[in-house]
Amino acid sequence: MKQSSRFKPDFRALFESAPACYLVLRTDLTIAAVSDAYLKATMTKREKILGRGLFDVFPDNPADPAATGVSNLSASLQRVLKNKLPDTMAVQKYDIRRPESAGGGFEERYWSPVNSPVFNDRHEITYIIHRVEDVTEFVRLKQAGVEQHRATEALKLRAERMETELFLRAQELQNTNKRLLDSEIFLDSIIENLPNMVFVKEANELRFVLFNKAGERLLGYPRTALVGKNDYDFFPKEQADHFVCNDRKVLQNGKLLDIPEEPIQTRTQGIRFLHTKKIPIMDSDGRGRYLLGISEDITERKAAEERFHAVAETANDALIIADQQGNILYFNNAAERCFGYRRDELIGKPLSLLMPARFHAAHLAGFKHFLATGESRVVGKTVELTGQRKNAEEFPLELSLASWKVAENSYFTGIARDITQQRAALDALRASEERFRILVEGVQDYAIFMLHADGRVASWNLGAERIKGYSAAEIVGRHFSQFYLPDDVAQGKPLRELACAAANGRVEAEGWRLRKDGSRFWANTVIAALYDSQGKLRGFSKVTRDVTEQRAIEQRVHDLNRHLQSRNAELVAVNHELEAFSYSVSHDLRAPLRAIDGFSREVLESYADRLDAKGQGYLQRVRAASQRMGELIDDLLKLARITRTELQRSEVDLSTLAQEIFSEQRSRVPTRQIEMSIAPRLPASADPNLIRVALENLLSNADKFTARSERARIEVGSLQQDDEQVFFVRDNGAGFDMAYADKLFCAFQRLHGANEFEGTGIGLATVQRIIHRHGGRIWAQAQVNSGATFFFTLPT
Amino acid sequence: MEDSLNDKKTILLVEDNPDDEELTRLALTRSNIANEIIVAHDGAEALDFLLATGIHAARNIRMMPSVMLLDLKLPKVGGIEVLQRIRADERTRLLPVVVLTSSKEEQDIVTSYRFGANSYIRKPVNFEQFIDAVRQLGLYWLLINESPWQSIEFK
Repeated sequence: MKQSSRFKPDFRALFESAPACYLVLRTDLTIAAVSDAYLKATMTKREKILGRGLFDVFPDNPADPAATGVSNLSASLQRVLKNKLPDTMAVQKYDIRRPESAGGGFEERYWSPVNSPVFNDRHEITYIIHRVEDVTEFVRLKQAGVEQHRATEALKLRAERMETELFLRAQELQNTNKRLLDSEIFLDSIIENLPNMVFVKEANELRFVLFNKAGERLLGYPRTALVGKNDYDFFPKEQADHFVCNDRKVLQNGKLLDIPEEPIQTRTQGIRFLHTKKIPIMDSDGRGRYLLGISEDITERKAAEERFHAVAETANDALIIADQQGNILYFNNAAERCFGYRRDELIGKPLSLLMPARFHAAHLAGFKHFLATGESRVVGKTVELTGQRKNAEEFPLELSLASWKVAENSYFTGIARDITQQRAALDALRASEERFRILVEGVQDYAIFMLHADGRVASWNLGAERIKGYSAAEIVGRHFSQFYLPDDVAQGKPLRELACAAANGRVEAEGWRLRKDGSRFWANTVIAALYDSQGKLRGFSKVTRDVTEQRAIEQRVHDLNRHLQSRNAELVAVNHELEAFSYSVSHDLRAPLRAIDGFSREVLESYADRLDAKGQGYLQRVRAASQRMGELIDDLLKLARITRTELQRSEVDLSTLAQEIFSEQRSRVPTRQIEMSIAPRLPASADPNLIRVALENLLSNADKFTARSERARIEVGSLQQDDEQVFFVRDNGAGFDMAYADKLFCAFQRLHGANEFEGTGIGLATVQRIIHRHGGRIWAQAQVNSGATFFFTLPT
Repeated sequence: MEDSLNDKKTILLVEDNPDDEELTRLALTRSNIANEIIVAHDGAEALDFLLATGIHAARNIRMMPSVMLLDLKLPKVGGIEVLQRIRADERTRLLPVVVLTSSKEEQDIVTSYRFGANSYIRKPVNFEQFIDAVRQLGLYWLLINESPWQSIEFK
């Protein structure tokens, strides 16, 4: 043994020189080593075949269409790789290539091959040893011998016959095996391609002995890594404990175990959820030999279900699922809120609970009809129906109903929404729109209509019909430019106004427009652009008013104004003339009077001796007349001046003013006895200068007409009459006859003879003019010989 | 000689109406005022006299009247303009001017004073009153009032 430990045999040389035909193959079926005998038998050279693929070196004979060598050998080798067991093949006809030196082509050969796996210490196949026996001679002998040696040795013949039969039987056996194998491949293929994971564990240590493709994919390991291992090699301990615990239970009870949902840690897809069925495979003694597992990956379905629940339970719409009996299977949160039932009150109960009783018959009939014919008024549509809550309250609901089928069973999904508020809002909106529409349509004084964005008429009201003469039927759809004069249209005015409205939101215009009958009217129009919520131009509203009459009135007012202005200018000119006239009067009419008076006096002075008393008297009259005329002229000028001067109001106390004037008059004739009574305070709003002139006149009149009274009495005061303050100046003098009261205030009108009381007759005219200029009134009350009272007002 | 002219204290009467001229003379006579009266019949003649131009070009400009009685309503050049012109001229600026007119219009009175009238008298229609007015103004301007001319010549 010591020797052997030192002795290092040349295994390669040993192997190559072995007297049998050996070929060593790698698992990818390339040639790793070959014995000399194999080379000789196959007429090949080592250096030509090492490293090459087996079937590359030994292809089927193309001249033999029935060749099965390659496929049989390949199948055998695959079995070895798969089963990790040696595989003995039946005698094979496997022709080999003849070297070119020996004439080329293929040479008929028969072989008896055995393929054996070589393992490493991890029980993985590393090589396959392919050993063959060249039995060509034998087979040929058998075939030829039947003819050649028939007559010779009977025993030999029998023996040969037996051998031949043996060979033929072996071939039959192989055919049977192949059929078996085919069926096995068929089953394997089914298992392999099942979409669910299929695995088999042996019963003792629960190591995997089989895994299909779906299993590999799910767990993320190749089956070569899985076979021979157990759960603890791949899964966290708790999971492995759980699996193993179930496995033991199954094997012990000998009964199938259905695990609806279990998590499993995979290599590449994280945790997945499986629905697993575990099935015990028992031996004839009733002991568990294997455990078959079939797992469906339900992760997606589970996620989908969870998604459904998440969506369904948070949805605002009621979601109800019913079966084909019309019984409720599912009822979500929103449905509870909507109908007022808890779901446990309704699951399994008929849908008809959710509608008023009067609809039950129609509901059931429709339901039956749908199940029988697939036709429905509601299924697959969205309809508005009446729902009923638990408290019997009815409400409008919008229902979308769908049906689906699983196997022969129909199911119904309904999505319902309580539209009480929408309905109310819609009703309110409709009512408001209706009111508005009626309002707009009924307006007669305004043409109110809509235009599409391109200017075609979209709507038409009564006012439009009245003003423009078209009925709605005649004009809707036509372009609004036909309301404009042809010249305006030619200049692009209608479209320009639309563009302007679109740019600025609104445009207002005035101008001539055409009626249907071709007549014109002067229109005031407002065009407003209408935009939708996205800011897109939807069209225009247009309001047109016929303002022809208004325009005519405006024109008349304008004309009147112009006329007034020219009249005003005339008046100003007349006033100027009057001014010039009165100036001229004051200047030029007085000069001759002065001459008359002056020279008359001079005659009386220097030539008195040449005139008798009568002549002198006449000259005195000439003088008196000229002087009186001077006074008249002065009073007239005063009257004119009052009319001309501008009124400048301020607070004036008539009491103080009257006092001052009275004092002045007294100072002139201090001997006269007059009883004067002036109210203490008489405030008024008046022009101080003018009101002084008026009071002077009134007071001097009073003074004058009381000259003959024994006890002259003059009173100045005020009284309240109909919310109006009325001032008055009263005397107890001569008075006058009220029959002439209307002549009192006319210039030069005197009610007394010049021989009675002196005066020019202009004083009261002046007073009246002053009062009138203040917007006031003046009137008098009198009685002959009992005095007179002059009343006047000075409104503020 | 020039002194003697000024000593004579003449009156310049500017009056287009011969009646008024005569009445003024009468009034002065009745008032015992015998000073020489020079009459100009319109504004232009008055200016010619005062400024020694036109028909009065040969006149000694230094011999100035003691007072000018000026009517406002005059042919050719009106009284107000005469007043304006003499007040604008250095030689006549100081001449005492009494406006003697029929007008009692406020505007005439104010305008006259604004352009430098020394006095404003309205001719009354009543001749007694007229004589009285003329007498008073004669006494005042010819006797009581000191003429500016003496002072100027004194210098």
